[in-house]
Amino acid sequence: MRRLPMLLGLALSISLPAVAGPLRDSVLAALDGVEDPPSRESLAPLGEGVAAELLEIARNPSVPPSRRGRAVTALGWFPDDAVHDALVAWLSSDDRLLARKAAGALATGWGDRAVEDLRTALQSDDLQLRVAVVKALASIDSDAARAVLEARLATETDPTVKDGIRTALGR
Amino acid sequence: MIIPPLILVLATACGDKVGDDTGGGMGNVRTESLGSYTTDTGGLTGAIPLEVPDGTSSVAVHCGEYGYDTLGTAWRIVDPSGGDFYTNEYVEGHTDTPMRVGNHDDTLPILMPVSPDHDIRAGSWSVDVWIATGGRPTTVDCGAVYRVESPGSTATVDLNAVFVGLDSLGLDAASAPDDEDFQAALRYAEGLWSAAGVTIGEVRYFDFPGDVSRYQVIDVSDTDTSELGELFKTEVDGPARALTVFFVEEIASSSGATILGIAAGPPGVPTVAGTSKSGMAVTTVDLRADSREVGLILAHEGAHFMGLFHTTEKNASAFDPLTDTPECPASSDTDGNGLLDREECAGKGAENVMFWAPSVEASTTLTDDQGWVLRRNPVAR
Repeated sequence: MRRLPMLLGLALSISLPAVAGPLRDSVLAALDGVEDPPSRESLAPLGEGVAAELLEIARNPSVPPSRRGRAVTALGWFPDDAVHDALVAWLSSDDRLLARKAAGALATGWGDRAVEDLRTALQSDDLQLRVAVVKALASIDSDAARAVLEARLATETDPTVKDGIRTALGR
Repeated sequence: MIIPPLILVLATACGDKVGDDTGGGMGNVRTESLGSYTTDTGGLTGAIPLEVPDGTSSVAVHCGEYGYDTLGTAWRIVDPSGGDFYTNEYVEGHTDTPMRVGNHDDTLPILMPVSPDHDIRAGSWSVDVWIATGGRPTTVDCGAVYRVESPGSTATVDLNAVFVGLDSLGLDAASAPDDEDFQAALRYAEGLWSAAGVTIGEVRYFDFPGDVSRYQVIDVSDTDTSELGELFKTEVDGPARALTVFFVEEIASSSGATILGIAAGPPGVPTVAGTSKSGMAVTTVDLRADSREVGLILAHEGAHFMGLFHTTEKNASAFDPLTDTPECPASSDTDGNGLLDREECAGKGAENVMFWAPSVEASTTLTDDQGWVLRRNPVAR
């Protein structure tokens, strides 16, 4: 039942033309700090439509990858169905950076409801994605999240990921 | 008592490290150990004495290691007149001076001067360090770095470029010298620094010798910077009198958002390797899309390491200690989101490389005072 929205989200994330709204410049400016990444507190006051701007920025290939990644992270603070579908699509995409950011954003916006999507991503060959997923599951810290981490600990081979899982489980 | 010249020469050679200025040597930069100090129940070390030699234009003091979960700062710095060059705001009779010392974990870096309005002089100084030990006696090792020469109107900074697992970019020590985008980033950074009379000298390339999978993506948070600090402790076989720059895939904050770059400090500990404040890190995810972005971050973070602060912080909570850099007041936050962005600060500092959110389109300037500070740093020659 969820497959159609997922496919639609995947298609949209790849092909949606960039259509900037009236908040675009302000939202983009909030993504520009060198050492200061964006926060919910700096984006929410900009008003209605922030999520749409973030989606546009994240999908726009002419925006630097770092800002697109920051936009993906920020989408976790503005959860809705369209955002969810886009994040799930990025989580399984070939874009290493956006996949990592999507993992964190799903955990932020959906908590325990994101565990199943994150469990799947934990099978990735990309060890930095696995590290990011472990952190995302750790931030959820539910019984389901911990169960996924325990299961992965038994099969994970990379020491960095294993250390991350042990830290997440408090060992 | 008259000391025979030969004994004076031997004493100098044994007490300080002095090198030649060719082939990446230390030149007129001296380092010395100031000894070990144990904090009292109030967290203070007591006065740490240092003798600043004649002809010194810049001094860096560093004290550590006290752990990543503990902060330290300077409580008081006394100059040869016996007066306060700097006092912490909590010191009775505190006087605000154009000197800046932040709160730092693990190793405290102090750089003097950071403003032409508050220059240093030769003679007997002392530094009192405060560490948030919670009453627990903590022993730290302290050292000093003296640049014993007058800086000119131009300066050169060498780089130790360390690549930390950038196989996704096809970039490493072997490929970097011929990598168009990487070289363009270096040139862009140098172009920005040229406004301050600073050029990039010799660049040496190294592959990270440590655990790449652990440091390829650096995680930092307000409460845990240990990964960054351990990265900065990594020593490479390059000259000490250089900026050591760790090019990583990404630096990630506690929210998961990308951090574009982080320098130790500011300032960093110049010419001394092996401390958690001995380097800087640059995120490289933008390199293939727009090398100027990486060049801008290199210039911005390198300037932090060498003693510059943000001209205006993101919410105008602070400005740098220089009088010729523009300030963007909090009242400029017209969209009310608590951030001063480059449009709101147009004409009020957004054009400066050290604005908290510089951009390749707009931020290309450095002021005379900023150049004065950069050219003085011990890594510059």
